[in-house]
Amino acid sequence: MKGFIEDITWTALVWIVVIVLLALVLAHFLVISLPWGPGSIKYSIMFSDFVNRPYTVAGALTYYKIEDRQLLEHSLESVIVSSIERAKSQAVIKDLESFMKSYDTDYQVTLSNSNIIFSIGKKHKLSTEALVPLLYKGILGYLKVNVR
Amino acid sequence: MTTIGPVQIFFFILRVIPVILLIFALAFLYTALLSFPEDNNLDRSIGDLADNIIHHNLTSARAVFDADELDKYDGSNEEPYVRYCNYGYYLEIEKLALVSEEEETQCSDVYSEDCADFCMDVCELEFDELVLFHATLGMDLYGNCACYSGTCKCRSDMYDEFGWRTRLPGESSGTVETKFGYSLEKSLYNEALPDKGYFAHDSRPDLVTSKYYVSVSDEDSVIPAIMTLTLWDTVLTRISCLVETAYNTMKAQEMPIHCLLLYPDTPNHDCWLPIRQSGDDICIYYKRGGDITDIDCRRLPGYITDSDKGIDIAYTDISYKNDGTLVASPQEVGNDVRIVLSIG
Repeated sequence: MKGFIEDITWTALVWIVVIVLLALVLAHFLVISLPWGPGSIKYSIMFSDFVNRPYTVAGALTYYKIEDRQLLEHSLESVIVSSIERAKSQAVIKDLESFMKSYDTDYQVTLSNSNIIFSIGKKHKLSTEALVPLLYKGILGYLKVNVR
Repeated sequence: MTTIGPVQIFFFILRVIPVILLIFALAFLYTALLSFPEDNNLDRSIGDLADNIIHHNLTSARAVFDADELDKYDGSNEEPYVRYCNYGYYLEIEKLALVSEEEETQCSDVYSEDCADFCMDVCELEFDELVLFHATLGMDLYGNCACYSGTCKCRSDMYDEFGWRTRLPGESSGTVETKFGYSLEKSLYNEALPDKGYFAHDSRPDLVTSKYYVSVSDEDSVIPAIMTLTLWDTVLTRISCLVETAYNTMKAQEMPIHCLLLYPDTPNHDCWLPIRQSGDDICIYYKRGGDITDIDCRRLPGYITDSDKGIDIAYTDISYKNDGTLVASPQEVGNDVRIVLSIG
């Protein structure tokens, strides 16, 4: 009697598993072939070019002239003396903000040596960074450009 | 020793049958699956091309466009310096004006009247089109009218990431656009052949557009700018590439050609391939009576048009049935290379 019950139980289990699997497979194919369904399953490789953005902006900033000097000179001199005031580069912040705002995007530009000399804007969580190293007689600083 | 009785055999068969059925069902269904690999070649190529353009002769430094170089090509259909043989590109440069705080419209709440007025003024939106969004720095912007960290912003196209404006782009902003390159005017096809459209292509898109932050040189400084690059993959760009390759290799080139539903002056709706050389361009034209109108032209590359060895593309006006193979056969005629196009 025990063997008989086991046979019925296992047979029922096999049938249930097979029916469930068949139902899943059929549902999968039905969804594809329904007139309002997707028709096919697609997997795409996306190509993103946003990683280039901070580099093109950094390229432009390198040649951007503010008052008597280019931004790169202002930055290097500020890094050397650790201050935009002592480098007579106070105009940099306002002009740089105007420049970056014209792109109408999230940005952050930071000038630093071992300390942050100035930072404008706020970076977006999806932004990427271009790093411009500034080196003078063993003093190293960075102009960091974050653009979304 | 256990014995297997008829009941056990019966239940065993009852268990085996659904498993076999499942295997057959799976085999049947999955043999009906077909895979079609598709590449996103246009998407990949536009990134490569943009990267080349911002490093090539049009720029004086990385992403800094030379204003004189841009002026040289403005309004033309040339694709200077770097180009794809199979794809034509169209380049637009929009100079941006520096934004000062005084010119911006300040806001504390997007639902304020000021911001709505700003969006209707600057982006020419109607009141019932406004989709308002309040955001702080670092947040994604949605809708078409936003108060973003104390400043009103709007855009005409709800899906244009680069379309946000913080002020009127009036004359004082100094916005100047430079445009050049290959572009397909679908309206010309439609005007010429209102009931047939342009050409029978496959399901892939025939263009992709991408925007980049760049700048334009201005005396000893730079002006921020947006570069909009459009890459076209059309019948004409493919045919011009076929001609170019035949010219370079001096060997016949072939490509499958879809049925072009152009049928000037023909009562039967055959496929039709009217191609001609027009100056330095290769064109698809439309003919009614004696009048010929070019409806799609691409400039041949400079190294061909400027070389001592000229090019002469034979006047081609071919009628054909359904799809076929287009053959470009080069022949040396005097100092020129004559390219004869035929359907094989």
